[in-house]
Amino acid sequence: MSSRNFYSTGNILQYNELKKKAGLNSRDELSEALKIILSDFKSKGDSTEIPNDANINSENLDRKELKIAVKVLLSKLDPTNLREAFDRVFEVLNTEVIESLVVHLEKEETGDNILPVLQNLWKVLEEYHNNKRLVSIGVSDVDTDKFIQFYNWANIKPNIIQINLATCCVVPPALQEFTKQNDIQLLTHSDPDPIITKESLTEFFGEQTELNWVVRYQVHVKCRGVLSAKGYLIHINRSS
Amino acid sequence: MGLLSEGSPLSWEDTKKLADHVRKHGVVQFINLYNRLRDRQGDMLKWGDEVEYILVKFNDKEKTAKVSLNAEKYLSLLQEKEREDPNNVKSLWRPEYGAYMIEGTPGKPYGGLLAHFNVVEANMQYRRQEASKLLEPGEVLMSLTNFPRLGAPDFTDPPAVPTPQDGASKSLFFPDQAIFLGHPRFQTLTRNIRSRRGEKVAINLPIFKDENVKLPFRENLIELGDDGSSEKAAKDDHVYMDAMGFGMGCCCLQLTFQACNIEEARTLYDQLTPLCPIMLALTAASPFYRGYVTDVDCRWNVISSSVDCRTREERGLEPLKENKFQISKSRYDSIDSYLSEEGAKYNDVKLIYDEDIYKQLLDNGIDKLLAQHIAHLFIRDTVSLFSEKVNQNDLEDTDHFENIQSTNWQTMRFKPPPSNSSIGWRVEFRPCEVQITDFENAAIVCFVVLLTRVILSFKLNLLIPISKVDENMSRAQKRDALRTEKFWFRKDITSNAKHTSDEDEITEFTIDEIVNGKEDIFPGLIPLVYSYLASMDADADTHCTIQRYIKLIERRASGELLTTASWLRKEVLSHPDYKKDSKISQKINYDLLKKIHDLETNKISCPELLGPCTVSKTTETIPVAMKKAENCVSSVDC
Repeated sequence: MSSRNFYSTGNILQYNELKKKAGLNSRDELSEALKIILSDFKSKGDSTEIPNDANINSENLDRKELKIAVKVLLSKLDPTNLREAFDRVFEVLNTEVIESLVVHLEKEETGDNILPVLQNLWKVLEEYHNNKRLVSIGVSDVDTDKFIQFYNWANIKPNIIQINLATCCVVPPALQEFTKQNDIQLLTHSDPDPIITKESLTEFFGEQTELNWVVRYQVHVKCRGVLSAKGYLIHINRSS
Repeated sequence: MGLLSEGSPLSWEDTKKLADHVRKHGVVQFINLYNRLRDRQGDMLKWGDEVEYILVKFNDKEKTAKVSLNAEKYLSLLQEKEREDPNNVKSLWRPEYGAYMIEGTPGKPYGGLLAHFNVVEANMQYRRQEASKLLEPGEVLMSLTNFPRLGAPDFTDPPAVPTPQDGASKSLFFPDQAIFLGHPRFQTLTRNIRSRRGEKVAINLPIFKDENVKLPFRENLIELGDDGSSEKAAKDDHVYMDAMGFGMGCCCLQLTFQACNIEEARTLYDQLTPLCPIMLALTAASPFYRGYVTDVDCRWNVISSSVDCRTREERGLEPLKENKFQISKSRYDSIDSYLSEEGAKYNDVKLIYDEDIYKQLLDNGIDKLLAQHIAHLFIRDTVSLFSEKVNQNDLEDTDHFENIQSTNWQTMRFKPPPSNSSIGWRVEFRPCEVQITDFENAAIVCFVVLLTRVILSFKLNLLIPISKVDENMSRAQKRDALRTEKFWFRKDITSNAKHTSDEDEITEFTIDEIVNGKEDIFPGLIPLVYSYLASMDADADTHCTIQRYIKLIERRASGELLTTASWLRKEVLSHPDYKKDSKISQKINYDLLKKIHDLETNKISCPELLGPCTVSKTTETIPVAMKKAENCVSSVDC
């Protein structure tokens, strides 16, 4: 079994196998993408270089025409881990700036007490924001009351809140109102939590593997509604 | 149709004499325009819909519904705001062929954010209200593809009588007063198309052979004033129509979008072409003509025949003497060639064009595909010319080019940027039939625009031989095609599939399979749209709205919901007055249109047509936060 702990799917828009399975949710999409790259590693040998350049810009557009949106799905909720995710994604996408970044904390890890953990992690986002490396920053799946409380606490205000698609037609009125008042983007997602199940982790990476984080990036061509790249980065821990 | 240039139309004889003049200068104007704008880059996605409406006048005492010939009056009121402040109107209004028709478009194009999908329906609602509040009591604005009794006895308000002996149409059924008279273009076109053809246009639609239709179905045309020519043109067992108004008097739902450059415009023109028949079948909404139930569900062939200006020689009925070419289609029909490199190998229909024009285009730096497309458009003569527009500066003006371009009414239109404007290369999608409610119309236009984004993002390849698209067009129009027909479609739409042979590459699918997918065989257009949406940052309201639109399309495609055409049929065939004779009486027509109006105004629900949910989260403006997130004001390079 490999000792690697970081994987990058590359731009999954290039995989026709995936296009043919249209409409997958992100958990299944990630699984399919992992299958593809892992079988690739197997055939080429595990020493294959991890692609540092995800080729997010195959059409050679000017960087200012692109908008990069990243979601960090964090399983190990400590700031070091989050920093590692950031550093990896900046490196892989070969970019100085990420236009939109949302952080999601795995529910099982936060329990009912999300705020202290979130506040602790938010300082990292604020720092990257202050260094002009993140433009819009936000959170995912935080209940209305807690979100408002968190918003009022935050130094750099979140300007994105993501809610689960399943409930999108019944947005809590208080959240709707609050986001409108404060110019916050109220976005939808359909990411299962956790993004990789324990079973899949074992299947792909062997027993006693723990997930640190998954990053999903989406590169959009601004003002044209075109998606130019999408991919996942996965960081695991092998306790053996 | 854009703003019409005012002026005095030339007689047909003078127009005919200037046909080569228009052609010659039109080609030069295109060459100049192309060389000026070929490298234009970086245009954003901007798009807009066009909805055509009819005015209906109800008489509740007599239980009649007729088309109201009041469009001109209302149009001048509706255009007042635009005349005063053209840059700040929410809607634009244009005349259409019928004196009972108007066309509405958004005041400004929608933009490239997902959030723009959420303002489309609100704008359609605004337009409908804006026009509706001007109307007289009893008058109603409807987005209905065809008025069921158009051309049947006593179908207009005020009453008007057909004039078979003279006038523009010389129709046994369609009076010239039903043509929009506020601008000379429409009558001129009518007269010139008939004159060029050398006889009246002839439209024959198979009648729906219900139990009590006496076969062979044949009407007494002599008693309507026929001089024998209609008798000859009318086919047995068909509903015969003899005027441009029967086609151009139908309403369409069209959309135009701007591409980032000429290459993207070519790609989208080609990639959307195989979707034309699919969207036509999906939006089928016109089973009734001249007061009869027919065996077709769509307007397409009706319009095509209604403006068929080809002479007998051109139609291959007589040997070529006066004319240059035998031409296989009307100037209103499906496109004959693809424009992109990818598309080139699927151009399997022989294109007719003038070799000299083709060569002239090539010599001026235009590639083969575009050159043959333009040369093919230019086999047509001008059918409408204004004296003020005869002499032009070919370096700046484009009227002669536009003259021919805008009277080639095809499923798709490839539109160069207008001179001296900020508008880029555009593509127009023209096959869809208009639906009864704004919800449906918004769903359809959003779905098509979403498909363009899906095609570009996933680099899909939907191309099939162009001859197969034509085959699909004819299948799409049959009665209940959505449930009963299969359509040629590409099996593997991922881009790098190799071109082997037709048999390997394409197969026949139902609309359900094409739209919703077929397990392990074909992913389906809607699942691809879902994949795309999951990768975009959609705000909650927009996402909800789009989901409801897609749900409607999904259910229509699967046959769970009726198409508009099937629903209209069902309503007539189950009307207590219906005598199984395929006739739509004044009373049946009245009740049907009342019901349509009640449906549109939400007085009644109609789950068999619209499904359980007909309300979206549409809103007039997009959220400020979404606008800020992707600042589209400054021009970005492509």
